[in-house]
Amino acid sequence: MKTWKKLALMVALGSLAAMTAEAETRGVTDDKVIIGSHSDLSGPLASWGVSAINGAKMRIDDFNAAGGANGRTIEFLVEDSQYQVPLAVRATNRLVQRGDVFAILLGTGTGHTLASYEITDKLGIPNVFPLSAARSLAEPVHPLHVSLFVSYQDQAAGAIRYFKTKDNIETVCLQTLANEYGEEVTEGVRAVSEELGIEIVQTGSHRPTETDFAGVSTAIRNADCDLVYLGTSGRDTIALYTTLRQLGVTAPIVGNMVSYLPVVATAAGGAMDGLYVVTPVVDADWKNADAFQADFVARYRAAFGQDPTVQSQIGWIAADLTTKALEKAGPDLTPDSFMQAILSIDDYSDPFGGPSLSFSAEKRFGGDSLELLQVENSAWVERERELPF
Amino acid sequence: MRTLFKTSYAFDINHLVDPGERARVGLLILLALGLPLLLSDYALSETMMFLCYAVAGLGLMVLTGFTGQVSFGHAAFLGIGGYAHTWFLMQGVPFLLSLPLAGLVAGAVGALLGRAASKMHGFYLAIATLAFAILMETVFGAAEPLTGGHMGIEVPPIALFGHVVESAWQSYYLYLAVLLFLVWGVANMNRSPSGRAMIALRDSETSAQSLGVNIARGKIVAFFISTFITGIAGALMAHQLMYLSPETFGLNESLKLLLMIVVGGLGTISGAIIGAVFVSFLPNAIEVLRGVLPAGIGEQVGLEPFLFGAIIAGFIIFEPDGLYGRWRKFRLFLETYPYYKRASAVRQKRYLKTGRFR
Repeated sequence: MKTWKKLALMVALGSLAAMTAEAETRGVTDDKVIIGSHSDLSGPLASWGVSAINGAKMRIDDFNAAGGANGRTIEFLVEDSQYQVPLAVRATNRLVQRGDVFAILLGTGTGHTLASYEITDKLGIPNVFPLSAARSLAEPVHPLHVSLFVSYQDQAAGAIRYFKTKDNIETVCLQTLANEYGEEVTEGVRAVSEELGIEIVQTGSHRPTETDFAGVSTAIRNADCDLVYLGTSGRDTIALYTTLRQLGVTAPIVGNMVSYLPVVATAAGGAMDGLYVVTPVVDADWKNADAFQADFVARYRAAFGQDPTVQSQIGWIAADLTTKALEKAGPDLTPDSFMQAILSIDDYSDPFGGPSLSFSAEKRFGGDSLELLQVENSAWVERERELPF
Repeated sequence: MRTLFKTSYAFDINHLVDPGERARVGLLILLALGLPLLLSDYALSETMMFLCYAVAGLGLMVLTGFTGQVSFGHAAFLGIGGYAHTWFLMQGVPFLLSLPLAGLVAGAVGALLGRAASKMHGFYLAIATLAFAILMETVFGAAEPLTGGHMGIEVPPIALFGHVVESAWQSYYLYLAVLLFLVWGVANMNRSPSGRAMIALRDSETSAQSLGVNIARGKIVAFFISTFITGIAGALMAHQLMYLSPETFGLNESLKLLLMIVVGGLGTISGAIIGAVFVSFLPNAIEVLRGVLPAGIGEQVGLEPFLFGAIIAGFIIFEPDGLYGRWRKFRLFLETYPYYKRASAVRQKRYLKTGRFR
């Protein structure tokens, strides 16, 4: 019995110590603020994770070199989640318990970030700018969550609204991945179609590993819809698009932000020409780069030995927003003042030429508008700027 | 070699006869009981994950180690257990009831699979269980009303008799109790007629049948017990994961479970525990290693899967008996010094190999 009493005492003392530690903000000292990230550095989405983290590192290094904000520099801790939910939980645990982070940035993956919210929400740690545009990551409004994208639902809504006004489409076919991303796209298309009186005549889903789309494409052709919307990623977009065009589908085919990859434009030797995507983030026009962009590319290449991608820009922007928020929050940095500072950011325009970002107490998805791009001569070409959703 | 004389009937009933082994296991349990005093919350949460893996490994050990039926699909049962448990909790079933219920759901599905698989051997069984795992991942994604679909589902916290268990040390003791109880249960099962029948099945189906063992029934029982335990592990794990999504219980996890018992040592309870130590703490060890290694290697992406694979390949080539087998040989070497012979550790019958005369 004695040991139990001792144990209880120790636990009581431990929680007391934890409470007194809570009194001063965790992860913040006079000259340092610790910020963490759980990202995919070696899993299937490493092309996203590594680039985004590199971009963020670049911005943070610049920030630290310039002396930080309010006398504090950022210590950036990154944990690899390998795009697996259990590892994301472990990574978050490590960041929170061992790293004692003030905030988490750029959590990669929808389920992964939702799982990490379970930990950070309880402790009141801001978990912001996840690398996924799922609506569930920032809606319903939570004081500690905010995203810098436009949700997958709203991307679909934006695209369908645009084609409704332009071509007066009446029917739409939908093909998505059988995962959470596909589910969100489906929700978005359903909602906007109902609102605009568009009929969804054909829906289908496929697993990420599937490679043959002849059956699906025939079904879409036979449905003869005015627009084909794809909630797909890279390889499946290429396969679907080429198969659909081969089968003689002439309706516009529109993809989501996830299909917006350089390889999708260049694949299949020009056969991708004509594919549309809607996206809240746009690759900078590196050929006509301004001074900042040229400097960014040169330094990025020198630091990481590869060309920056749109994900590097996202990482850079997320880190930039964070540094801005740290500045605005002032010397008395708490999770609350930090989140208020983020929410007060209005009409932020990134130096890469993407759509502007604004946040408010209700607007938790920063993106103000979308862009519509189309593949032309195996390259992404801008068709429409500031597309509302 | 020390000879132990039987001096009482208790000798046949005790699980640990060798005094040295009894002391070691006792120390281990004492250490496990004292861990919350020594470890930080983070290390404790890692240790709880280890306990979950140990339970899951124990489950798979019943099937693969004791009955000789390979399963590439045990993560599916982790998933069934986890999802069933979460669903029960959300329906308001108390934790202590929900845990065995989740095990029973997994066990029932496992028994059905066992019924279908009871005529299969070797590769065919491996492929069948593999297919089952892939199928279940799709089912978890599609069964949206029950599982939350691909978006995943939040796991409610553990509540015992109306009190929410919040501190890590409390759930740690709960997990430890479950593990110890199941280890004790499996050790007893091994001595029951069903347990004996399983081992007979593993060593030779033909001989087992000629001794009157009902092969189909034996396999179904083995599948049931194995998946029951794995389902409970899944339910415990759900609380550690805090958030369930279908891809958590994918093929990778199945392979991890299988490799765990291979590395630990097939056919022993200790093997399951040692294997769980291996898979749970290796990532942490590698992380420490990263700090020590020169930056060029230490910061290499993908170091972890690489080392994982290399170590496992090394085991399969050089020590198929696993870590526990190595330990036993080492002990035998000390006890019989200088008369240790290599041949005394050579296995007489390979597991996973079925009788040839059918």
